[in-house]
Amino acid sequence: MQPDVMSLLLEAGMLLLVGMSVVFLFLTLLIGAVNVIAWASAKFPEEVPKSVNKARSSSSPTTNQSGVPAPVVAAISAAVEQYRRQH
Amino acid sequence: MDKLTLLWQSTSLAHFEIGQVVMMAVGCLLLFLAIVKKFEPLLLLPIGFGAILTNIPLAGFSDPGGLLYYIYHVGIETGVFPLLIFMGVGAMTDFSALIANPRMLLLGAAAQFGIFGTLFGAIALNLVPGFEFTLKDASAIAIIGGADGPTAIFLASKLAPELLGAIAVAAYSYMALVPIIQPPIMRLLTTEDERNIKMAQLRVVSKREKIIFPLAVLLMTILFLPSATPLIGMFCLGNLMKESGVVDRLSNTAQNELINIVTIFLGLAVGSKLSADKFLTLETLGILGLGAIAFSIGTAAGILMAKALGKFSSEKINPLIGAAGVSAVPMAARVVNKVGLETNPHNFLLMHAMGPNVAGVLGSAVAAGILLALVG
Repeated sequence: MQPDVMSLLLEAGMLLLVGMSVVFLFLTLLIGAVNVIAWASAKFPEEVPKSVNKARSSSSPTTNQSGVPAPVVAAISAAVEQYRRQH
Repeated sequence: MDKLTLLWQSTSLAHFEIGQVVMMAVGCLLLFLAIVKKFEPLLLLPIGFGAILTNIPLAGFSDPGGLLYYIYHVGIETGVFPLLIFMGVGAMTDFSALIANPRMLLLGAAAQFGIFGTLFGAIALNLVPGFEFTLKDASAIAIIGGADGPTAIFLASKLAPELLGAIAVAAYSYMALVPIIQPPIMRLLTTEDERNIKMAQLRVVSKREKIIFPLAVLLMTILFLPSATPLIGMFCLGNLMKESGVVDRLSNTAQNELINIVTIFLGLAVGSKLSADKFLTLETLGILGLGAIAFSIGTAAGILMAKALGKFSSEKINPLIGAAGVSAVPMAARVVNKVGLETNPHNFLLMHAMGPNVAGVLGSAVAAGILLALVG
């Protein structure tokens, strides 16, 4: 009985080592993967901002029509740009 | 007179065994905990009721042909119910806190020490006369430390079905007890200054990152740990349905109707395993004790890892959030937030704790995959 338990304990100890190593290894690799995803997303920005840009340029004449002067629009968008860059 | 004897013989009163009465009392205790104390009522109520039903003499709920026999056979023996629940949990999980600060995955990994440490402890318990846990039994018990109900039931149904009732009851009871078990350990292992640490606000995560994340997790599991793909695969499916935003109907079903339906049957099926011959044993006591140890070790390991990470990191890390690494979503994260607020009423740690919290879900699924691959 006793030696049997000893061999089981040894096996459990091995499981402890191997298990924790694999968990850490796997999740560390996942950290790398998340960082790659984040890097790629930053490198190739989503299409959405582009369409916003287009919408902004195409909509600026209409805002002019609605009575907002072009310099004001330019000033606001410059401020927004600056805010986005800072945050 | 013959007729009277026959009538008497057809009542339960003539056939009650003491074990069945005790197990019905255990079922009533679970109902009490669920209804009065509000301990994980969604599961403990059907489990408690299932325990009462399965111990009715002559009704044969859990004999071949009985209702609970089929529910167990269809849902748990096959592993289908815990996996469907896991899909629903995936559809309810928001990974943005983790994607914004991926190092939190290390905290989720450290908390899995509770699982493997308890495995060692369960085998060591064999030195006490009366306990004879095999390596499979010990692994199934240890997964209680993952603080994740479906994972525990899935692994127990594969490795040690005869212990499933006790393991599931222990897992859900301790998950309900997280607000009682964790805070003393958290206070013991951290100083007031450490609990006061404020963390930098998390960045905004784009939708595309959130869509790619479950796919990346799945790809890595396929490559490195295929034995964990049933759990992680269903989890990622649920998460992708939510994040893609194109199948709201499916996502809503997975996180509401489907998970509710499955929860009813899962609870009943687990309850059907609470029969006297399997539950009223010394082993159950051992399992309950080991479960508490598993939770405590996991909490402590998470906090210590967070401390170590804080030492080497340029950004400040409040070590309390390490305690959320034991999964038990979202209870553990709420406990972290609460303990943080006790020290500093303006320090909200909930979002920061969600990172290690969801990392813990992944971590325990990975640990379950490892145990399946090495022991199963």
